[in-house]
Amino acid sequence: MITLKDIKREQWDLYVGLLTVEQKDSLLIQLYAPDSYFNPIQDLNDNWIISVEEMANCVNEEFIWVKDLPLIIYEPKPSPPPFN
Amino acid sequence: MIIGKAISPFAIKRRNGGAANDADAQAFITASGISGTEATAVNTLVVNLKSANIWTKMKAVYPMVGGSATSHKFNLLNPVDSNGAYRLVFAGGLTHSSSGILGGGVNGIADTFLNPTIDLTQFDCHVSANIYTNTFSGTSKVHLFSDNSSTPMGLAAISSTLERSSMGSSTLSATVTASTHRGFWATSRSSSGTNGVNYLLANGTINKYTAAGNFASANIKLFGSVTGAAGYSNFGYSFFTIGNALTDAESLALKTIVANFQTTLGRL
Repeated sequence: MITLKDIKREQWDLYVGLLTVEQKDSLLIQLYAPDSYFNPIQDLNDNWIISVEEMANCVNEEFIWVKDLPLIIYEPKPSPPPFN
Repeated sequence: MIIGKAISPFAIKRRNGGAANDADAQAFITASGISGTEATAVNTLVVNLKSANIWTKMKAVYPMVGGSATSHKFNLLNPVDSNGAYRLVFAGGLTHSSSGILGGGVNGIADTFLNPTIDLTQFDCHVSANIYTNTFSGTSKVHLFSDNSSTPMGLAAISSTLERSSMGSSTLSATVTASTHRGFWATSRSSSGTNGVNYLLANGTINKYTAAGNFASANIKLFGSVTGAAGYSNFGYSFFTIGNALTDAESLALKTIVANFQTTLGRL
């Protein structure tokens, strides 16, 4: 399992943190840093994920566990109509 | 005979404790907690926007100074910490620094709470974005968009070689290279008629197109679309505006004012 401590800063946009549905629900409308909210989204395979920035920059003690989430390769959903 | 020496205007300024800032600039400076060069630059920015008669056309201006989410969130036009003042709310992966805000490209987004169908007239509106990076990877990237339906208002990078203005169901793309995404981009709609939209490219060219359709009702978001894991930007941004329509001359004047502001701050 890959975690935050295994990757370099320049690899942050390649990976995302994998959430369970329960973890996703607990992060909704919650701050990970001052004026910065978590934003769980679904990837191409409908996994719930957050970005490495949210994990690395989290200073909210209640959610500090996000730093230990398993990392997976980021696979975005296809672009919506206005981009086609 | 009058004997004496001339009084330097700088001496007067020192005795008076320095010239007072513009009141609107000072309100932003106080709210965002900035000082020094950043405060001076913001004051000059406001003075220049007013001098160019652009200030009154703005609904939201995001100068992105101070280096943190807390200082970057304020709208220069109304630096109050409320949705009604179009203060930004950040979510997802974004990196705040003295350069501005770097999109994470995964889920980073900011809600302006400004809905163009409510807060603007659909045929009297503009948006602009100043980009400080050139890096494009993956799929399309939103600079700012009112939603991700088929009828958004906004600016986006479609690929490594295409930037796009979108006004409702009509769009216009501009060809760029991998090294020319960076710079100031703006699009403005002043009418539903022929060539009622101007699209100012980063190279200073203004292209025109016709867009008669309305926008879907949704808040304008920065760095990403409303729903789904698509369109999230990994560009860096140092300035955004949203407001009433700008003429070609006003768009170019805004480009110059924003460039001067960035130069004063030592950033792109």
